[in-house]
Order: sequence, then C-alpha cells, then structure tokens
Amino acid sequence: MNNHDTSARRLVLAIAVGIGVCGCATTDQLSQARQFSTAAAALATATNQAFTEINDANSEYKMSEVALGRAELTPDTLSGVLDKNNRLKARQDILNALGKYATALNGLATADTTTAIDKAATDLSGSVSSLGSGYQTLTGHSLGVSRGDLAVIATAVKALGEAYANEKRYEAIKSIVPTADKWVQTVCADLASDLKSSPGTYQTDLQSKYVADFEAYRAEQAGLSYSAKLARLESLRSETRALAVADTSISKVADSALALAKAHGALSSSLTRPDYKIGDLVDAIGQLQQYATDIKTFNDSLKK
Amino acid sequence: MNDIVTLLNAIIQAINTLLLNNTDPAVDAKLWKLRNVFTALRDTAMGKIYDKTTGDYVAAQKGLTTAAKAANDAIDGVNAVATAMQPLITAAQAADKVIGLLNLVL
Repeated sequence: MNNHDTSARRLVLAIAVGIGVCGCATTDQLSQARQFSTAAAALATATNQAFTEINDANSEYKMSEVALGRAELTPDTLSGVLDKNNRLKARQDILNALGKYATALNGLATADTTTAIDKAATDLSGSVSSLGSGYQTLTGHSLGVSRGDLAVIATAVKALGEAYANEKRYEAIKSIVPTADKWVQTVCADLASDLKSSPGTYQTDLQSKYVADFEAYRAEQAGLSYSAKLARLESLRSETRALAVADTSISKVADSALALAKAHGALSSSLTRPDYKIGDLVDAIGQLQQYATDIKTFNDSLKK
Repeated sequence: MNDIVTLLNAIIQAINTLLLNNTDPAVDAKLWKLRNVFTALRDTAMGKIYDKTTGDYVAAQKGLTTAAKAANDAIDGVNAVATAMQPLITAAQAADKVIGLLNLVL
C-alpha cells in the first residue's frame, strides 16, 4: 500500500466519522430540543395552574369573611389578586407565552407538513411578541425584541421550506433558540424574583380562609350531626395540610422558572458551542422535567 | 429589613393565630377589623414597586416589624392581646401612608 492510498483511506474514514458525528449530534440535540419543549410547555401549564390557585385562594378568603358576616360583599370580594393586579396578570401572560414558545419549538422539531410548519412559525412569532409585551407590562421596560430578531426567526423557519430533514430542523432551531435565549433568561429570572419577593402571601390567604372556616365550625357545631361534624373537621384538616406545604410549593414554582431558564440556556449552548457537554443539557432538562412533575403533583393534590 | 408585603403577611398570619386562640368576643371583633385592614393593605401593595429609601417606607417597615413582634409576643403569652393592639394600629397607619389605600383613622 502506498502513501497516497493510506492518506486517501484516512480521508475517507475521517469524512465518514465526521458525517457520523454530525448526524448523531443533530439527532441528539433535536431529541433534547423536543424533550426540553415538552417539559417546558408542561411546566408553564402547571405553573399557570398554580397562579390560578393563588388567585382563587385570595378570593376565597374574602368570600369566607363575607359568609361569616365579618365583611361586606363588594365587587372586590369575588375577584382574586390576579384579576385586579396587572403586574400579576402580566406574569401569567408571560408564562402563557413561554408555554406557547416551547410548544411551537416542539412543533418545529417534529413538524412534517407545510401546515404544521406554518403553524409553528406563526406561534413562534406570536409567543415572542407576547413575551415582549408581557415583560413591558410587568417591568415598564422593553425586553429588546427587535425586528431583526424576529426576522432571524422568520428566516430560520422559512429556510425549512418543504424539506423536513432533521438537518434542516436542526439548523432552524440552532438559529432560533440562541436568539430567544436572552429573552427567556430575562423573563424567567424576573418571574422567579417576583415570586420569591413576597413570601407568605398564598399561605396567608389559605390561613385566613381556614380561620373563617374554623370560627364558623365553632359557631355552628351545636346544631350539627355527628357525621356532619366529622365531614367539617376532615375539611379543616385538609386545609391545614395545604397550609403546611403552601410556602414550599410557591418556592418550587419560582425555582422552576429558573430551571426553565437553565435548560433553555443549556440547549442554546449545546447548539452553539462545539465543546459543550451534552450531559449537562440532559441534566438540565431532567431537572426541568422533575419540576414539571412536582408542580403538577402539587396542583393535583389541591383538587382532592 | 423585609419588604412591606412580607411584613404585612407576617402580621396577618399572627392575627390569624390570635383569632384561632381567642375566645373573647370583644377582642375577636377588634382582631377581625385589624385583619381586614392589613389584608386590604397587603392586597393593594402586592406587585407594586415602592421606593424603599423614603422616610415613610422605612417608618412603615419599623412599625410593621414592631407590630409583628407585639402580636407574636401575645401569641406566646408574653403580653396580653390588648397590648398588641396599639402597635398594630400604628403600623397599619404607617403602612397606609406608603400604600395610600385608606387614609386610616382607627
């Protein structure tokens, strides 16, 4: 075998290995992008349900005060804190936008028809715009979503055309995720900071409702049957259980926003940095999935 | 020092505990009234941004901290519930000066 043959064989081998590595990386990262998107969308939904629970707890304690004759019925009685506070409502809007963004990203990673790609593209632009407007409402500052950024996203999706090959999807996601990362980092940090800045609000509202129920039981117990008393006492015990985990659950919601930011950042890094360890991305997405499960479990426990 | 909403929550929680422990109807009525005031202040202040360097804000923080301690002392039996009433009223007025909800006259 001469030197030319050896060099040629080495070159062919190097190209083959190179193609193999690129193919694996693309498939791995697309797979991770799908997993991120699914977990992030689930987390956004679960967190939004937690916000709804916070809102309901706020109106329920006010209704209990009215029912007990301790306060007058006013229109405010029936509205929760999210209903009347634009800043809290904005947080919910931002979570909706994050969920929509994650779902659209998943759509892009899995779409196999022109209609599905068009929908993903529309949802991506819409969710990014909503992120920007929600952040503006929340902070009074611009998130910095420029026309150029939106053009990057539109161009990336357009480049998919009617080719649904994994490499094409990978290239589109590689353009979009790093562009969106700065916004995701900013809004998630802000959400977490806001949720953590007023600890005890949710717990306080649950406790206030519990106090009203407790006082009502004391006032009415003489007229209750044995089974009715037991049912009321069981209800009071359920309330004390919810009270015991209230602060932990809200803290977990705040941490989940940070986990979402971390996983998105890891996904972005894996797409842009050749030296990035895929294991770090897998860990970050694993944490995100765990948070989504925990918060869903918390929400489900409230419905019992 | 904690922000106003956190301190208001601490006070509401202390009043709630006092309500659960109390059996005197006259004290009960006063505690309910105070809880309604603090809760209304808390609900209004939530999510708003205040300048934490103003004299009014610092005074509200101090008043709320003192009131929370007085309420917790009453829970622990260190003082009577009646002793906690004036610090709670003073704190509500100081907080309202920042939040601007009620222009409290208690």
